Amino acid sequence: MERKTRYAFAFVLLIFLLLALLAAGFAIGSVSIEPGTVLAALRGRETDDVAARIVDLRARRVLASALLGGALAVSGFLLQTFFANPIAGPFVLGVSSGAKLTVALAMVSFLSRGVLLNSAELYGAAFLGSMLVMLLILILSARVRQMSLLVVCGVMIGYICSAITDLVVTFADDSNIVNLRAWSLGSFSGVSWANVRIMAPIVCAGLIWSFLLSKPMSAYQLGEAYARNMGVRLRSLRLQLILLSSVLSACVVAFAGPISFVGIAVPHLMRSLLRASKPILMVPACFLGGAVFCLGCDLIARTIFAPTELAVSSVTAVFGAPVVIWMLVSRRKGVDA
Amino acid sequence: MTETILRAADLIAGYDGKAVVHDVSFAVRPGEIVTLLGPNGAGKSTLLKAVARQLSPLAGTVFLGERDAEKIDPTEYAKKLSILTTDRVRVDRLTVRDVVGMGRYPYTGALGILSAQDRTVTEETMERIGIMPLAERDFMTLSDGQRQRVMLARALCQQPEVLVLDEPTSYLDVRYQLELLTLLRELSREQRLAVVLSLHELELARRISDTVVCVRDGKIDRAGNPMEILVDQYVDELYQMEPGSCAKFYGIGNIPQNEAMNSQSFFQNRSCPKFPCHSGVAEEAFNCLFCYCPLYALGERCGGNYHYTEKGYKSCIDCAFPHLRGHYGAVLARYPELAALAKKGEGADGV
Repeated sequence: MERKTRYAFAFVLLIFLLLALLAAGFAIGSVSIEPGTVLAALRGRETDDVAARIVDLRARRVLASALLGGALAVSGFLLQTFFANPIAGPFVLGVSSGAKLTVALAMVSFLSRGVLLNSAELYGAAFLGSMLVMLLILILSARVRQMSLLVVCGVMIGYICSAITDLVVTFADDSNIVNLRAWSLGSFSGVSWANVRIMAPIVCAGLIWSFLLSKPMSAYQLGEAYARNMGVRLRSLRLQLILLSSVLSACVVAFAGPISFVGIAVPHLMRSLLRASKPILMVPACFLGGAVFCLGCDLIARTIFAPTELAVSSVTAVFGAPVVIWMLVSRRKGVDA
Repeated sequence: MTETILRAADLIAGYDGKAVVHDVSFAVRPGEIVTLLGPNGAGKSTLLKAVARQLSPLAGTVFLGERDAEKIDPTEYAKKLSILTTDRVRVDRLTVRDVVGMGRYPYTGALGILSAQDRTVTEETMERIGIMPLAERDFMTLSDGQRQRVMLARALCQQPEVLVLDEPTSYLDVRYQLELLTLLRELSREQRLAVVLSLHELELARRISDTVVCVRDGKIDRAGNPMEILVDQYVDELYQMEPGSCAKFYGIGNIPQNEAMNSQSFFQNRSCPKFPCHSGVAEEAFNCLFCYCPLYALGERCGGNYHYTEKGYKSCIDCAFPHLRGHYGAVLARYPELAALAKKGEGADGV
C-alpha cells in the first residue's frame, strides 16, 4: 500500500501548494495590501476603491493562471499519450504558435476596422489556428515516423507561424500594438472577467472529459494493437485526444498568449512525483501541477522586477526548459540500459 | 465435427487495399491448437491480424463463434479473443502487475479501476506464468524474454476463448519456449482454449499443434495433422530449400519414410548423433528402440504389437510409431505421463 500513500501525499502536496499560491497571488504584488483588506474586498465588503480594484485585478489573474496552467499541462499530457512520447506538447509541436497566428490575424484585421473581438471570437480564432497546425502535424506524422523529427518539424512550424505573427504585429496600427505585443509574448495580465467566464467552462469541461478518457488512454499506452484488442475504439479515442488537446491549448493562447514548456515539463514532473503514468492519476495531477506551476511562474513574473513585469512565458521557459532537458537526458540513459 | 470458435471464410486481407493473403479458409475448434507455418513474408502475421480483427478483411468473413467478427461490439470481442504480438511495447513507469492487470480492461467500469475479482485473476495469471517474482518490477527494466511472458500473462488475464499469438517463442530461450508451449497445451486441454499461433520452429510446431496450416505466398498451401504434413520433403518445398536440406540440418537421416513407419523390432538409427551410444557392444547388436522409443515406457498401451524377450525386454513386432528421433518429442508432448517418465529416467539413453 506504499503506492497509495505516495499518491495521497502527492495530491495533498499539490492541493496545499495550489491553495498557498492562490493566497500568495492575492496578497503579493507591486502594491501591498493588507490581507484583511483582501478578504474584505473578496467578500464584497466596502473597501477603498483602489484596493478593491487591485484585488479584482489579482483575482481574475490568479484564476486565469491556475485554469490556463492546468489546461496547458493536461493538453500536453493528452498529446504525449497520442504520440506515445513524452516530448510532445502544444508548444513544441507548433500548435500554440498556430493559434497565436490566427488570433493575431483576427485581432489586427478586426481592430483595423475598429471592432474589438469578444472572448468567444478570440477563442474561436485560436481554436481554428491550433486545429490547422494539428492537422498539418498529423499529416506529417504519417510520413515522419520518428518523434524527434516530428518535433523538429513542429518547432519549424512554430517559427514560421511566429514570424508571420511578428510581421502582422509590425504592420498593425500603432495603437493596437501595445496590447498585442504583451499578449504575443504570453502573459496573464490582460485577462478580463469576460475572458474568465469563457475559459472556466471550457477548461472544466475539457478536464472532466479528459479524465473520462483515462481508461482508453491507459490501454493506448500499450500500443495500438493491444489497445484495439482490449476493445478500445481507436479512431474515436484519437479524435478525442486531438480535439481535447487543441481545445485546451487554444484556450490558453486565446487569453494568455503562447506559454512555453508547461505542457512537457509539468507532466514529466508529475510522473516523477507519482512514480506512475496511469492517466487516471495523471490527468488530475497534471491539472493541479500545471496550475501550481503557472501560478508560481506568474507570481515571479510580476514580483521579481516589480513594478516592471516579465512575460510569464520567459519564466516558464526558465523553469520548464531545464526539466525538459533533464527528462531527455535521463530518458536516453533508460533507453540505452 | 465439433463447433468452431474461430473461422475464416474466403478471407482476403492486406494493407492499403492490397491483398497479402488470398482466399484463406480455416477453422479452429475450442481446445485446439492451430499453428501457422511458412517462410518469412508468406502472410502469417497478416492472417493472424485479420483473424484477430486488427485488420478489416478486404473480402470474406471472419467468424467468432457463429457471428461475423466485424459486427461484434469491441468490448464483447475483447472478452473472447486476446492477442500477443511481436510489437515491442514501450511503457512508462508501469510495473509488471500493472501491465498484466491491463488485460482486465474489458471487464472494468468506466474509469478502468480493477475490482477485487480483477485483482485475483491478475494474481492467479501471474502465478500461472511464473512471473510472480517480477510483479513489482518496472516493465521497461525486464529482458525481452521476461517482457514476452508478461505480455502473455496480460493476454491470458483477458480470459479469452481464443488466443492469437504471433511468433510467441521469439525472444524466449529453449526453456521458456518449452514452458510456453506446455502451458498452451495445458490451457487448451483444461480450459478448452483455442490457440492460433505462428511459429518458425518446426520441431515445436510438431510437438504442440493439433493442426498445422502452411502458408505460402499468401495462400494456404497445406493444412492438417503435423505428423503427416511436416515430412522433410515438404518442409524443404515449403521453405524453398534444396531438397534434403531439412533432413541434413535436423540430423534425422534419409530413412525412407515407409520403411521407418514399418514394424521394426530391431532398429538402428545410424545418423543419430549419439550412435553408437553403448561402448563395448557390437554395433550389429544395437537396438535403438530400447533406448529411444518413447512408446516403450508406455507398457501395454503403445498401440502396436510386441512381445517380451526372456530378459523381460519389450520387442516390437508391429510398431505404430515412426522411429525417427525427431518425432520422439512430439510423442512425448502427446503423452504427458511419458514426458514425466522420460524426465525421471534421463540416464536411460546412455550407459
